[in-house]
Amino acid sequence: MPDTQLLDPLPNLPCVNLPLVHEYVDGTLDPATQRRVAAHLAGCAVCESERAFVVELRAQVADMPRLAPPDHLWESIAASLGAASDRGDDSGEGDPLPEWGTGTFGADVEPPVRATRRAPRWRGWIAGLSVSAAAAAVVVPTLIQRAHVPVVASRDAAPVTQRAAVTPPSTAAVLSPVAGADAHSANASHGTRATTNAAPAQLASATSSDAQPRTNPLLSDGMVVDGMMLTGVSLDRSLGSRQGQQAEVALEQEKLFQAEAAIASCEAALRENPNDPRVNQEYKRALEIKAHALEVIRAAGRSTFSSPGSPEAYPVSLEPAGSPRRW
Amino acid sequence: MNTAPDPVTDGQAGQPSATSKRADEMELVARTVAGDINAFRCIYDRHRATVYSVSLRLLGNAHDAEDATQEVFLLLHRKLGSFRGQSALGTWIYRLALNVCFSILRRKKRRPEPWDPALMGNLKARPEGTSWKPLIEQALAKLPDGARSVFLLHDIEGLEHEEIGQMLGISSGTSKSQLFKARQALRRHLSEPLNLESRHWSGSHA
Repeated sequence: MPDTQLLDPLPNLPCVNLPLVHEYVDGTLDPATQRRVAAHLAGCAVCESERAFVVELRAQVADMPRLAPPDHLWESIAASLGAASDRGDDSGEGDPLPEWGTGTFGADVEPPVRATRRAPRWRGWIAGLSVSAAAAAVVVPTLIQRAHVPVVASRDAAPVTQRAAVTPPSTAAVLSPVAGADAHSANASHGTRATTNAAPAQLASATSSDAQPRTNPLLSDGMVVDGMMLTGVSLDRSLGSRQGQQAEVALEQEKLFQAEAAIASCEAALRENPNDPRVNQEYKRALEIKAHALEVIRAAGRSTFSSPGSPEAYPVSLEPAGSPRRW
Repeated sequence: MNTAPDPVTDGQAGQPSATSKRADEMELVARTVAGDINAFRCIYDRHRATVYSVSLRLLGNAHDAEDATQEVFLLLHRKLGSFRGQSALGTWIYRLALNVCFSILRRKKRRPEPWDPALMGNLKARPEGTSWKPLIEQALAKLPDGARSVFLLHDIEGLEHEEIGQMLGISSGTSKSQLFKARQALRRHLSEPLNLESRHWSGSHA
């Protein structure tokens, strides 16, 4: 294991070892690195301050209150499951069920004219499907169109290019020697003796540009501090636009969930009024969307999502995936 | 594969061993699938606070959290037949809840409302020392969805990075980096109201 050295904090920047301090508090470092960070803490006021903060923060949130939902929620759930026998006329106070059961599908709701009509506040969740058959007719083809095109495209080309475009500090970029490192090597050598071949280049790039990822010399065995850690690429951005195939699978998952919810609500409504043509039409639409989403997810996600040997199992892999994916 | 004890029960007294708990869980699942609503009620009672609390903190208001909780359990009821017990039921429910909440967040495409009286009232009812909790709850709502999710799951719910990575479909390294980002953001948000000097806080406030 190569020897590792500390970095002096760069001027006007927080100490580059801060992420390790968090892991130090969490106890997720290997013992050797844990000791190195401990030694570093003794001489770095910035990191020591961070350590104290994280310790206190963890103590403060350790017993954050856990809140129970209101009691009427179970009644709604049970009723939606068709298990409540005392549902009566659905006029109970404050119970979401009347909206679920009749408010959306009942004859007293006038059909919306435009597809852009706002859904009732309670079920924006399935708004695109349940507002009305007319709305569904507009929404559904849109969903399916969105499902088709990008998946096909992304399976071949998109992952690489999108990853490069969206996630500048990729680990792969860090691991390969950075061109032009020698221009900054004098700068890089300040305060550190590089421990891996790539380290000077990485450090140089870190010094010269915030957009570049950095390695951390405290990590002895060539590990790389995730570039996202230092440059702040946000997960929410990534959640909103997962690269390539993952994004499409995520989209299909969402549609699948929406379809599932719509199916559940339609079934609940049909139990009361089996012949409502609008509900029946929505039900059919929802089933179509579900079937399509399943198809796309299975086609696109077989390599990514684990649904081993059980096509009937929920294909969005509610059980933990075999291996986490890198973005 | 996942042998860790279920991290997401709602803290009943007298926790049985993980093994017997798993067996008990599977029995409840089987009974639910067979149509026993009381068994499903047991599952609901065990996990409702987890689902609701996570939803509340992710979505930022009680109304959405109630909707999400209801959706989670309706979906769960439909899906229990495919639950094979490879992971704890709680983990499964977690994934379901996160999926539902993220879906709602994506649909709404906006920050959660900055504060919810339900949370605040609950916090105020607790004995106050130098509690950061109300401020933390407020600051949480300002975090990006991803960082908030990871902080919530790791520091508040006590899950491991590996589990979080599996639930969110990210690597555990990304989970770590998001946690770091969330804590740094929280420090910025807390510095002023708690009178912490942002860079050189000494810990003397503890």
